[in-house]
Amino acid sequence: MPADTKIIELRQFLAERLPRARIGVAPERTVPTALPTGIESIDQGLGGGLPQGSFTELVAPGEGSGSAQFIHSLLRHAASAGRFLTLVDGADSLDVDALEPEALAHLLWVRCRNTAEALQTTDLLLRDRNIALVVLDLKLNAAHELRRIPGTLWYRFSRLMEQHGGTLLIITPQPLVAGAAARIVSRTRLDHRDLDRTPDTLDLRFETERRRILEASAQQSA
Amino acid sequence: MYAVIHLPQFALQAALRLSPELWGQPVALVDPARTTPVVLETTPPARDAGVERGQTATQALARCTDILIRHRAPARESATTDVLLQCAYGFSPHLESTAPGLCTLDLRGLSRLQPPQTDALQTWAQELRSSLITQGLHAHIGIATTPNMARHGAQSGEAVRIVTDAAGFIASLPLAALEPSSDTARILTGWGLHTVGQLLALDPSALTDRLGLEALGLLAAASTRNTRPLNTVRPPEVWTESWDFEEPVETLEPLLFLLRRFTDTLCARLALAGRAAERVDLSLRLESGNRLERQLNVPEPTRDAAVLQRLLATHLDTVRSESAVVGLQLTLETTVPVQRQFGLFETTLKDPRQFQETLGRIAAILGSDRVGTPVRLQQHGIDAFRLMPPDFEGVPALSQSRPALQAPGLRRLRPAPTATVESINGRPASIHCAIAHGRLVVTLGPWRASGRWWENGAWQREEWDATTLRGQVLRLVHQPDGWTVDALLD
Repeated sequence: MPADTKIIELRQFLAERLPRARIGVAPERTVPTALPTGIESIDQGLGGGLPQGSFTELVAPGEGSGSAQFIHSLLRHAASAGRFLTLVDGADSLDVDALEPEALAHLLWVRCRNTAEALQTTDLLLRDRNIALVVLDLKLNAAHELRRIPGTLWYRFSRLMEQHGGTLLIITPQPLVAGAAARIVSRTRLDHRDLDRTPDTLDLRFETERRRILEASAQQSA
Repeated sequence: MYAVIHLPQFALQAALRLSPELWGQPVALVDPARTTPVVLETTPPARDAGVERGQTATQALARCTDILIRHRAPARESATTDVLLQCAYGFSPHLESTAPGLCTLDLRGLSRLQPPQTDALQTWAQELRSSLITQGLHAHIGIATTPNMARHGAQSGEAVRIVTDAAGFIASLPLAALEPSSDTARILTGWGLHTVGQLLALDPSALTDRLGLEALGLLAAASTRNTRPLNTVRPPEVWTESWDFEEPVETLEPLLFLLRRFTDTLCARLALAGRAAERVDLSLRLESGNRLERQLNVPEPTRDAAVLQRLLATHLDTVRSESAVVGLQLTLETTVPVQRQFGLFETTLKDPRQFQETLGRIAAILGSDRVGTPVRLQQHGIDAFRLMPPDFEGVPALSQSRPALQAPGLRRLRPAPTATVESINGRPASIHCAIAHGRLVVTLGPWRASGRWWENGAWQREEWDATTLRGQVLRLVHQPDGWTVDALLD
C-alpha cells in the first residue's frame, strides 16, 4: 500500500475518532439526530433530545435528585410514541407500582444485582440493533464499584453506539463517564412534600451540557 | 415414468447417518438380536481388511483389530426411512415406501419432467441425490417406465440409471437381480444360465413345468411392461433427531457438535417440505436416569440452521446437570413460514431472532427471572408483578389523555435493608441502617395495610415516610419481624 494512501486512511480514522483534532480539514461529520425525552428543558438544551448514535450522562447527585422520576417520564414518553425502552437497572430499584400497565408494556427491564452485571448486559444490548434506547441506571450502585469501571469501557460503548445508531443514557450519582456526547445535571431536590404531588406537577430541574455535538456544529459553521 | 431410490447397505447407512466420518474407518454392523451375532454390513476399509458378511464379531476383530463394531438399531432404521420419505416427498407427492431403503416415486404429472427428457431426468435425479447426501444418505436412483424396471435400474449399481431400452437392459442383468431362491439359483446356474436375457430366451411354460410357481415370479420380476399401482404414503411430519452416546458426556462441545448436525439436517428437510421451525424441544437424558427438557420458542419461524444453533448454544450455556449426558433428542415444532411486508412506520423489532438471542444471553448472566417486561398482578400488595417475555408487537401506545397518577414513583430497595428505629410517642424518631442513620426530622404516617389474612401467607405492614437530617426521604416499613427501609424518594 503506498504511503500517501496510508496517510489518507489515518486522517480519515482520526477525523472520525477525534473530531477536535481536525485542523485544516473541512468537517464532514453530520450532527446526529435526537430522541426526545418529553422533558422540555432537556429537549431544548440538547437540541431536540438525547443524541442518537452516542451516549449521554445524567448526573443525579445527592438525595431526591429526581432520577427515578426522569426514568418514569422517559418511559411514559417512549410508550406514548409507541417505542420501547430498555432499562438496565443497576440496583434493581424500579418502582413498578408507580407506572401504568400500558407504559410497562413498552419496557424491557433488566434487573441487575451489581455494577458488573449492569455493564455486561448493557454491552450485550448495545450490540443488538433492535434496541434503540437503553437507560443504564447506576444511581444506587456502590461508589467503590463505580470507581472500578475502566475508562476504556466508555470508549467501547461509544464505538458500539456509532455502529448501531442506538441511544444510551447513563445515570450516575457523580460525573463518571468520559466521552459522553452530552451531559445532563440534575438540580432537582425532592422532599417529603413532593410525595403528595402528582408526577406531572413535580419541579424537576435539569441543566444540559453539550460537548461533542456543540464542537462538531461549531466546526461546521467555521 | 417411475423413479426408485435405493439406499445400498441400508442398515449400515442408518447406523452411520449421523457419523459420516466413520465410512473412512473399518466398521462392521452386527445384529445383537440374533443368537450368534454375525456381521451384516461392512464399510470399504473393513472389507479391505478381510472382514466379510457372515463372520462373527470375534472373527471380524481377529481380521482387523481396529474395527469398530456397531449394533443394528431398528429405531435408527425407522428414522432413516422417515428421512428418506421426507426428502423424496420434496420431489414427488406420490411415493411408496417399498421396502427398507427402497422408495418408489411416481413422476407422472410433474411439470418439470414433462415431457420426460433424459437431461431433465438426470438433473432431477442428481438434485434428489444431493438432498439425500445432505442427510448423510448415499442413494442410487433408477428411472424407467415401470416401477419394476426403475427398481432394477436403482439396484444396478450406478448412481443414476435412466432405463430407456428396457428389454436390452433387463437382458443384460445377472440372474441374481431377480432374487431367486438359493435352490433355484443353483439349478439355473447348473443349466448354464447367468443373465436374465438367457432366462427369458427359454419357453415360459416349460420353465414353469420345471421350476414351479417361482418361475412365474421370476418372469414377472423380469417383465418390462408389468406395472402396478403404488401404495402411496405421506411422510410423517415429525422433525426429530436423537442420539445415544457410547460414553457419558460431561462437556458442552460434543453436544453442540451433534446439535449442529441435527439442525443442519432438520433444516434441509424443512426446506424441502416448505416448513419452518417455531419451537425447539431439547431433551437431554442423564446418566442418573433423569431428563432435562426445555422448550425454546423461536421468535420468528425459521429454517435457518445457524439461528437455531445460536438459540441452542445460548440455552446450553446456562444448563448445569446433576450427572453426565448419555443421550439427547431434538424435535422441531413446525409451521408455515411467515411472509409479511413491514409498514412504512413500523416501530417493532428489526431482527426478532437477534433480539431473542440477546435476551437469552442476558438470561444466562442474570437468570431468566431477571429480564423481561413487568406485568402487574391483579392482587393487593407491594411489588406484585411478574416478568413476562417481551412482546412489543401490536402493543398499544400509552394514551396522552390518561388519568394522572396520584403519587411520584420511588426507588425500591430489593432486598429491603433492615433498620433499627427508635420511636417516641409511637412515631419513628431516629434510624440506624446501611443507607441512613440519625435523627428523623419529618415523619408522616402511619399507613397500615394487610392482605391474604384469609389464607396462608397473610401479611400486614405499617408504612412511614420519614426524612433524615441529610434530606433523604425514606419509606420505612414496620412489620411483625421488625423495621425495614422499603424505598426512597429520588
